[in-house]
Amino acid sequence: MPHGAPEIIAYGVVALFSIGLILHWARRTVTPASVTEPPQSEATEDLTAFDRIQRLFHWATLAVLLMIIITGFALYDPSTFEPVAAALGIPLHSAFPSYVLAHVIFSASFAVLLGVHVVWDVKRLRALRRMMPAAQDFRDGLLRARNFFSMSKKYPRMSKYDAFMKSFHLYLIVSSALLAFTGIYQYFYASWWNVLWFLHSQIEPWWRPTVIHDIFGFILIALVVGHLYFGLLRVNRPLLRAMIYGKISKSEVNRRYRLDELRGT
Amino acid sequence: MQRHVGRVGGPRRIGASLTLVIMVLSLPSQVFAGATVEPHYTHTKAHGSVPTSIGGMTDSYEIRVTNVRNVSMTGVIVYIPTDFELINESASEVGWIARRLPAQPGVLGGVSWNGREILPGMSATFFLSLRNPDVGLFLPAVETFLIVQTYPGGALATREPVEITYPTRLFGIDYATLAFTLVAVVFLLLLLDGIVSLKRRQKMLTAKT
Repeated sequence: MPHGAPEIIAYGVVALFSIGLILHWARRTVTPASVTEPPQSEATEDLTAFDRIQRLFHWATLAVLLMIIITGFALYDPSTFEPVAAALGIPLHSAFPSYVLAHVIFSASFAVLLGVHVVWDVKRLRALRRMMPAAQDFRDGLLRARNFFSMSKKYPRMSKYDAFMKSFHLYLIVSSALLAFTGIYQYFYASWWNVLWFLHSQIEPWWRPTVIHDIFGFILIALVVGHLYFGLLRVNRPLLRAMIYGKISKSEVNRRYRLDELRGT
Repeated sequence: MQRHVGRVGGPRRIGASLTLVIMVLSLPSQVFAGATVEPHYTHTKAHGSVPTSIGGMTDSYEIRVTNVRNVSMTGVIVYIPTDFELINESASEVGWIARRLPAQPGVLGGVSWNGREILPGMSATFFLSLRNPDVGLFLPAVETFLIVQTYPGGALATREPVEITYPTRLFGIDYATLAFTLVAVVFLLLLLDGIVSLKRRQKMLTAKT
């Protein structure tokens, strides 16, 4: 029996998240946020925000994540993916095991990239503390939320990573572990793509790893959409440019960022 | 059951049909060809390839029957799973006489069509308007329709599954379409944002020069 996450939940997560982003865009277009916090110190030169390894990891992770999402989505909802497969001229219903294999290969690549990332950022850059949410992040988040709802005119300077980015990072860790566990379980013990539809329910255990995998996968899709939105938003363009070229100009740093938080990769 | 099938054929046909009914109930649909059941809202759902309809709604089911034998088919019986409520029935060609077969203890209800013949290699299409059973959010139901084709001296039965899922539409829009449209709106707004900022920059440059 088909046994994935109900569409109302899977697509509902993406739809609700998108509505939130549309509201954010509308609000910030009407009244853009302008920083009111005075600078602690001024930058005298352009700053390196991300080194070469970090940038390479970021873009490679994006590419791999997109491939994981595409292959996973084809497996979750083949009828919606059908026009895409037809346009690309690639088989779908007859090639489920190939999609699973591609999904597994990209997931393994993601795991390798994560390994490199952990070794580089934690061991070499000692940047673990930088990614952990701190009291300052919650204070900033609260102030930004009050500003968003017109309850305050104050707006804080930005750190390299704000509360939302740190939360996204934390979610990536938790969801990667959950998705890996449920994915590995499905691959070895509940491989529904290898059996006829009416046997699906017989190989699916009571704790429904497929449903858990689908729901967390769709939350990940929603958060990747959110990450792309905030990454491409005009106010965050300096960070986007830094993710491509490595540096942020001193004028941008002095206008919007906390110099001490931005220093060092 | 005897009363139902008696309208289609004699006691031997009843016996043959019953034997086939019992046989096909224990076998997957892929074993047989000759009949398909397709709900109007058909949608190949997550992790499967079963036609799908939505719980609680009234849907039009298209039953396409093909004569795969060398003799003319004289009638068709569609047995409807107990959870469905029959609203209406019709055929694509005139001349078919439909009779409702009410459910009896131990026997499924359904509809029989007689009065015409389907020649070897030809097909006929019948329609059933059914109210789907209600299902739970995490508990889609796979219901099986039984289609019995009657021939002089025999019958052929086909078992066709239909998955009934929790509603997958909001205001007539598919959830997938709704979600991806909203995502597309997000990126269109960003594009608009980019165009506006580019124009502003061009204006500033023009003003400076």
